[in-house]
Amino acid sequence: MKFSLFYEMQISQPTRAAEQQLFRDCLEQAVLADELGYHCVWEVEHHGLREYSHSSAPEIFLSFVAARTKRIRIGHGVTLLPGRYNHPIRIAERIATLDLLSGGRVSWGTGKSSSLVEQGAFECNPAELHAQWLEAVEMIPRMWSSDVFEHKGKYFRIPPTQIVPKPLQDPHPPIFAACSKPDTAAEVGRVGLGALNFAFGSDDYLTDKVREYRAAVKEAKPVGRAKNDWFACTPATLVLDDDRKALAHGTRGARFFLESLSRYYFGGDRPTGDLDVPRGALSEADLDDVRTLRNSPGSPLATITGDPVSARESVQRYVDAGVDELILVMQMGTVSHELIVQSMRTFAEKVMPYF
Amino acid sequence: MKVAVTGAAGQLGTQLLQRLVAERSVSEIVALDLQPPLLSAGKLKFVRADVRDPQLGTHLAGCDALVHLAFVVARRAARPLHDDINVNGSKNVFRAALAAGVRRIVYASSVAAYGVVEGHPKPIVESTPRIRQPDFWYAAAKFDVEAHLDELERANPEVAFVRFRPAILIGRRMEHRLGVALRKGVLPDLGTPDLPIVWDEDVADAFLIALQTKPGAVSSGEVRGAFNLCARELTGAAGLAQEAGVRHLRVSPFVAAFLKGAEELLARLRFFAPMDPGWLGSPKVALDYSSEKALSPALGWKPRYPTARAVMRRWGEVVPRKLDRRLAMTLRMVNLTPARDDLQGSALTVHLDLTGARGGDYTLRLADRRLRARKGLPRPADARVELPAALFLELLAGKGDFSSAQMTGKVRVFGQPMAALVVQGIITGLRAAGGLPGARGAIGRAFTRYLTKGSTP
Repeated sequence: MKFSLFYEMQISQPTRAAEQQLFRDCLEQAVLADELGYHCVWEVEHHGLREYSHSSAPEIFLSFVAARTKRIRIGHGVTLLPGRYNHPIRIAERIATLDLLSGGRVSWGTGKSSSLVEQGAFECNPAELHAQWLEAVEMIPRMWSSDVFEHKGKYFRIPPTQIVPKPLQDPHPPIFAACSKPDTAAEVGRVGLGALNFAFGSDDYLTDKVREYRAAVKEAKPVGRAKNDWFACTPATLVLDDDRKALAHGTRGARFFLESLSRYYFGGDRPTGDLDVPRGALSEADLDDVRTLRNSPGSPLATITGDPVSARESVQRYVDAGVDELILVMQMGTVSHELIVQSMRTFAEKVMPYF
Repeated sequence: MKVAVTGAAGQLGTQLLQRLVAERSVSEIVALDLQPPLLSAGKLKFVRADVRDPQLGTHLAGCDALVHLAFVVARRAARPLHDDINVNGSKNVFRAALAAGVRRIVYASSVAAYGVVEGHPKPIVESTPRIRQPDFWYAAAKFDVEAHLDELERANPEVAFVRFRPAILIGRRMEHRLGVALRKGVLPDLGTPDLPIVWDEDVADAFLIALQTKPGAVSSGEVRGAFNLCARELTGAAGLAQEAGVRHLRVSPFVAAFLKGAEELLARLRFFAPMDPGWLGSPKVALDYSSEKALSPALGWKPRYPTARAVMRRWGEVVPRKLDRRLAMTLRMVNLTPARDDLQGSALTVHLDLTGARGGDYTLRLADRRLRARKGLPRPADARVELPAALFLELLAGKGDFSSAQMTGKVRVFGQPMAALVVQGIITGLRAAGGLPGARGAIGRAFTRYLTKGSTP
């Protein structure tokens, strides 16, 4: 099992000063992750999702990370592929440049955006996003592997052009795709991409999803030059020696994360200003219930919150389901930098070595 | 381990499947029934099959254990059909399982197998001789199947046979008359002695222990043999009705006899198929069943609702009777929500299981960029989302949040996890509607006020 970190650049009730601090703190965390032996730092791309995600220019942050670290992989994902967000040539150029500068450490995740807020801001037609993603995800690896690139598709007609530079990794950086809806893991597998699974579910559900994905990858006609048989999950995580403290802060963060996500993705409107979501901790009685439910049969696999013993139990469930990588979501809007650092250290020291 | 379950879509089957799906050591489940089970899962395979099918064994290949639940309890059917399904069907199931090399057979018998007749010791224990009660079809069938199992047990010592003899299963989805009456808010009392009852989820837990999904969980080794499963401290109908929060309806012996006579007459006149007379009469025999053996380390059964009063209290807490009108209105509102482009490509059928007196079963269907709600159960569903109706109402009114309800287990999701997002989406969408400009916003705000105050908008 590989352990990575996931960055939405989340911030509860931001000010300009707090925003600057957030980016500096996250950079410091990435440098620490490099030292502690984490596998990869993943950063998403979102636009206009105030509080939920201030990660609108991941290429800039990740360049800083690449410059300040030695071995950790740089997870640029997911990049939004529909042309109104990013022209495919610009993506190919940026990823290749980052790959050169980082010494071949880039993993590239792809997606299409599923929030009405982003789709509206960039004037995307939601009905076409999937087709646009598919066209771009096929184009970009070809830009990296052909001397002269030419394309005639539904959304792009590109005359023979030399796309430079080429990435360092041969034939190209490993490619992943986001999957949050029921069938997308198998769909992603069928085109030979690694799966970044954002859905939560029971052990049974996840085991089944991994199995379907593997079967699909086996038969895949890859869009890139190389298949990427890899299944990653993104649990909300906070691991501290003090079980109760980890539970309290971890569930508080997870609640803020999920409620603000829900607000942007299911509201059907365009919320402005501070979100109408709970920011405080769960009640003591609720925390007791969370603890009772944790790792019990049939409980959802969504969070790794608690002391190292309970964290190892949770991780084992992902191992049993056949997952390759856990991209730990420790950076949640209400969790302080100090707690994240403490959690990163505890996890690296007392959980990671067991797997 | 691979487990086959007959009667998987029934009251007890539903509870057992849910546990088997959650159990990590169970890798495959073959659900045999005439209708699809209430839940779906990756490791769950539904096979539409009749217990009398001579080819039944083809579905049991490779199974480590078989649970036989399928049985006609109280349906209108002529006696030969009744016995053919219950007795010949059960024999066929066991034959097929043994031929397929199944090494653990767990059968749902009943306390009725002892016969609801005079002359039993108090309390009845597992070794108490069973008495065949010919005029109670169900009890006679349970007796006959157990007699057959006695022979099979002697002839196949390498196979572990477990038989449970549960009392009347009280639970969420009772299909028989008692269940229907209770849901209507009435516990009829025909002057019957204290009813032997048990909570169905507790019985499902016993089945799970008997399957030995956790090796070493039972201190005294392998589970075999018969076990009574009955709540302690049996109580009269008046007490039970009080715990459940329903009306205790005393039916005079004269009326009861009249109803039984009328029922039998109408059946004879072929107005409808006959009914097992055992369910119509009012047994005069007071019997007491001991579950000491099940509670002992031989099984280690730990019922969560151990007394008759606790069982009925639980019934009152979780079983829906009439959907809250505010919830009914909310679910109707769902159907008025316009199509949303961001739902493109998503398709999902969700069983929304609202527990508690003011709850009910709803089907949420996501397709063609729209969410639709209708009353009733989907079979099968991609997922089931279970939460108390009162909690759903609170969440809709803006009290509390869905995420912590899910983290604490107050909302439970079985199957496709996206179902939780669908339900959360209803709540978020309704609350967001209040912030919209124009008429939609005004309606949204008025509706939220209605939910909060419980007054008509």
